[in-house]
Amino acid sequence: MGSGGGSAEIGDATAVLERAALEFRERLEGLHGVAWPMTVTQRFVGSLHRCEQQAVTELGDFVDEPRWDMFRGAALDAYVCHVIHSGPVADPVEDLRSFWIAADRPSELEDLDSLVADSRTAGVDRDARLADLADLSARAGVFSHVRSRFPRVEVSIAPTLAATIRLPGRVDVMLGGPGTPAASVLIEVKSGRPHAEHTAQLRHYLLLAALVHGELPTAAAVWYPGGGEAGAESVTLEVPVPGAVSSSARRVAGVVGLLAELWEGRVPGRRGGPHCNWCPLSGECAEATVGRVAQEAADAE
Amino acid sequence: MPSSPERAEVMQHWLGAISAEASERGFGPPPDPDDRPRVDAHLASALCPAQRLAPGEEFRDSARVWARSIGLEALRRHAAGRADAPRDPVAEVTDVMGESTAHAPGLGMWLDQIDRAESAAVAAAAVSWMVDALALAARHGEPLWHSPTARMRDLPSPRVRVSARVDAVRETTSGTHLLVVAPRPQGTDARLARRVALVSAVANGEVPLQVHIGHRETLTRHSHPIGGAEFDRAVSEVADDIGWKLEPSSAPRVPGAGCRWCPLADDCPEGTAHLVATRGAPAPLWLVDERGPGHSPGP
Repeated sequence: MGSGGGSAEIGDATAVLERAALEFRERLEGLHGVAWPMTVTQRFVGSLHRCEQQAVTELGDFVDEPRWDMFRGAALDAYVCHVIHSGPVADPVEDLRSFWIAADRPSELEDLDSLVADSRTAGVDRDARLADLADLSARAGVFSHVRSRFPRVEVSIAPTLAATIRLPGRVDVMLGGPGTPAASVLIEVKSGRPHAEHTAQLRHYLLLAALVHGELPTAAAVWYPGGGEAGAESVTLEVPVPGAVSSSARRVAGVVGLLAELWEGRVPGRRGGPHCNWCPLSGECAEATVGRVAQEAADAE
Repeated sequence: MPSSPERAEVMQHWLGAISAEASERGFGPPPDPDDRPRVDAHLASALCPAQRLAPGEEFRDSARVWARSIGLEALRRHAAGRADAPRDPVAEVTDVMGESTAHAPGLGMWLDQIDRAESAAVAAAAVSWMVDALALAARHGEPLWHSPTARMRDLPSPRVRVSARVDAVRETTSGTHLLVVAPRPQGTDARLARRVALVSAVANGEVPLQVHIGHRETLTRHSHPIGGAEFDRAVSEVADDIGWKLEPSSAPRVPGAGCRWCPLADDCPEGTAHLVATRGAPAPLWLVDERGPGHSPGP
């Protein structure tokens, strides 16, 4: 089962992470409100690297307004699952509704109503959104080919380091892996355009899978169905090379260190960039202006 | 494996122990004399018993509710009939879902009603449960998969039913091992293991050597040896749970990550104090949030 390799590297990665986790615990032990293990998500790891202030702000009560691009991502995940287990999607809206009712996903159902079914907001082209969903559901049809490859969808993996730091991840599609006779392959499904952060996410999930499974996955990939502004269909493939898991482990260990400093009272740093576009503080942050200018310049190119 | 008389003796012994403990505490009858409240091991794994007993939303069938029953049934079928054939979890779950009469009545009726999209969500959850259970259980060869039905026993007094789910059983020369598949490691795992052992004793007359709690999220398995001390603690703990079940307002309130969504939040000084303390603290304290930040799927 599995590629069977990388046990030394996984051992090193575990040691790096457990050392960081224990040091973290030593620094924060006894503070009120700290419960172990503490959850550190992949999104937080990426966010803290981009801009500490934004990462910390988003941990509060900040609630995402439903966004079409995010909704498309959730819809695509559901379509992929539908294709794998029930075949082609017949009605891109009503099948989504049924799927999320059975999956007990009330927030996605609310978004479905506000963004598609009841969209009467000025400037919203409902027909265009319906066409977009129909296109996405058709593109998800490629997953009919993985049915015999021991597929699972939305697989939760969450190694816990030294009973202190829990690193949760949810892999969109996992082929094979423990409990099956096949080696594991991780697939992330992204409805937007390729982005460097997706690769970072993929490497993070490779680390989590290696820690939980005790062996390196054979490969990981991001599948972009493309269409419309997202361009052509494409796949970004990541085959674990020597050092990749250790590198991801050091990245996470670094975040754990930063987190301890912030908790101890260091003022979060601010860094402008494209992420300022969705930051709740962008109206009051000087770095956000720098970030927007940089983004406009990049877009102009 | 113990003989029938030995099993009967085990059952009677531990039934007597629970009744004696309950009698000492002087529990009253259930609020509804026609009702027999169920005290499930699920309560033993609660971080906050008061929250676990709080009136929740009305029961609704869902993929999450039935994933285990379907996945476990698929594992049993394979072991019973096609053990030599290669295992295909997707096909096996699809087969099991198609045989609605083979399930508990509630599940069978629901499977008959749902459409293809709902079926996809259910199948996905069941396949995941099944594969995780296999990964957790099958390191030493496949165990005997348990029926999805919980082990249970009606107590003569107080008038309650105790129950616990068991997912797999392995008999070895040294004794019986039980496996319970859980989502993730919890501080209450040892308590859950003791409860499963006690319910097995009163329901089946079976005294396990060890109860293993397997964790889907981490694919780890913690073994809990069971002896006299564990049984004694379990008797005391099940009496606690019976008391709380009969009078939910007496259940302890344990502040923690769950306070943010707790239906008791408006009427819970402990939870309110916890929320005030964490809200006033630096933002990273939100990391103690059980769900963690960042749940929106990426675009």
